[in-house]
Amino acid sequence: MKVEVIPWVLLLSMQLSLAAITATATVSNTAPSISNIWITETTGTPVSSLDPATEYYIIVNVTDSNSLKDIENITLTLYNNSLNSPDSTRYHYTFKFDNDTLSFSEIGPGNTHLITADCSYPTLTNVYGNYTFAIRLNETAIPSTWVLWVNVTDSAGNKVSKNVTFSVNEYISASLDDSSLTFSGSPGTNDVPASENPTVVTVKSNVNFSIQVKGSGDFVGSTDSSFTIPLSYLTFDDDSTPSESTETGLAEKSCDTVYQILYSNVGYGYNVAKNIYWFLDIPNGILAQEYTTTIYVGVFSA
Amino acid sequence: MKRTLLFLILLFPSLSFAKLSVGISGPDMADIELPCGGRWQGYIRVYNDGDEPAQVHLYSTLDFVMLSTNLVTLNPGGSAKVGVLIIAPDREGIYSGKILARVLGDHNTVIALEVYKNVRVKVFHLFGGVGRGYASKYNMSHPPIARITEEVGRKFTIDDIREMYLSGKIGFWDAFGLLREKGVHWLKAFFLVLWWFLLK
Repeated sequence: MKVEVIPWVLLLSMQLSLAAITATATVSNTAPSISNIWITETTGTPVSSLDPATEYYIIVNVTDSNSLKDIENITLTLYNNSLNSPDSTRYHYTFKFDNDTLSFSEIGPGNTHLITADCSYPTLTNVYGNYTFAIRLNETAIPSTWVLWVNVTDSAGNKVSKNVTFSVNEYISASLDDSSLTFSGSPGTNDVPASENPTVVTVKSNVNFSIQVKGSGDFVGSTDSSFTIPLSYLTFDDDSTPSESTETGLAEKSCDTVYQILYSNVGYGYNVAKNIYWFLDIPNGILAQEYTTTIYVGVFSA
Repeated sequence: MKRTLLFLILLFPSLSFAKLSVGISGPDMADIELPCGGRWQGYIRVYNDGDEPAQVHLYSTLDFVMLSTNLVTLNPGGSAKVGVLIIAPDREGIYSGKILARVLGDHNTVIALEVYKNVRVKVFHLFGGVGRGYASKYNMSHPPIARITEEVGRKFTIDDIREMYLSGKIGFWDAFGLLREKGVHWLKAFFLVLWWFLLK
């Protein structure tokens, strides 16, 4: 009897164990891919050259068969020198999207070149989508050919990269702290300084530049235009002493209707400040009245 | 009280407001090559980096370099894109000029501030001497030659030339020169373009 019972017990236990089997599917991790990279204006127009101090979108289209949740991070490196060089406003920028914190950040060179409010990421349950980095290069970014290197890393440590080239355009921006000049003095007085002295020229530029001065013509009397002061009686200098016995800096120059260079080949930079001191010789024999002209300050690439 | 006064005196000289400000940027325009009548379209971008709104006056020193506007008003920190259209003159030559951006002061003896962008255009005739092998001889980065290659590739057909001529992308003599480059007899090429001209 015992002998017959054992097979039933075995069968029963087999049935019980079969009912407890669970199906397990192991999904392997596949490497992501970068389908495309676009650089566009904020209007969506694709561009291949970038103006400094202007916002652009870098759009990275990423595909991952494990869904975009699998993406660990995306790193953008924009450089003119080499990929692993340190970040700098002139040559190298690094930006990152971190999937853990779902945040965009600027690794370097500062914290003003990524406009995080305009960055966006796709629905992460999708297998592909666009990551948008809103960037703005510094005013001193070198005008040359650059590389945009994109690196995508997934949770398994798979890394893919892709790069495109673009160029950066020349940029010059200048500011003056004066919008007019005022000279007051008696006839026969030389080197009357402008009450605004000095006029400070502040320049942001990615190229070397010169600062030049010209005038539209002679100073003309506002009530009696038959009286004038020659334009050449207006002089300008880089220091407050118009004619030192031994000139310490740049020599004083006379104003003309064509540009005269005061500062030449000034190095590019951010907020490079240069002074212009103005002086006027007031000739004898002219009426007491206001005399006017227009003085041009030109800031031009060297 | 003495301390407050001293602080004010020290602080005041360091304050300087930008009363006039203007900046300029945009693609390189110093190496443009165009056939006679050819067109180049681009842009400049102007900036106001100052503390006050600015009226930026724009000028071109070359009469065939046209700007989409001559006056832009910019808020502090603002910028604007201004279109540039170059239609090459009929005479061959190298033309150099400037696109100037200027802001003016508003008093009697005013100071104006200027920045500029250099423009240099080399104008040539497609017809005669240039036609053969022009695709490699001339810089391909500017329209309309770039457009020709982009749209139809380097081995363009007579139909492509007709299409470009009828759509106004190339002129009469450009079409003629391109036909000659394809090996079409000059008389046949002339009458063919003349026929297209009448079709237009």
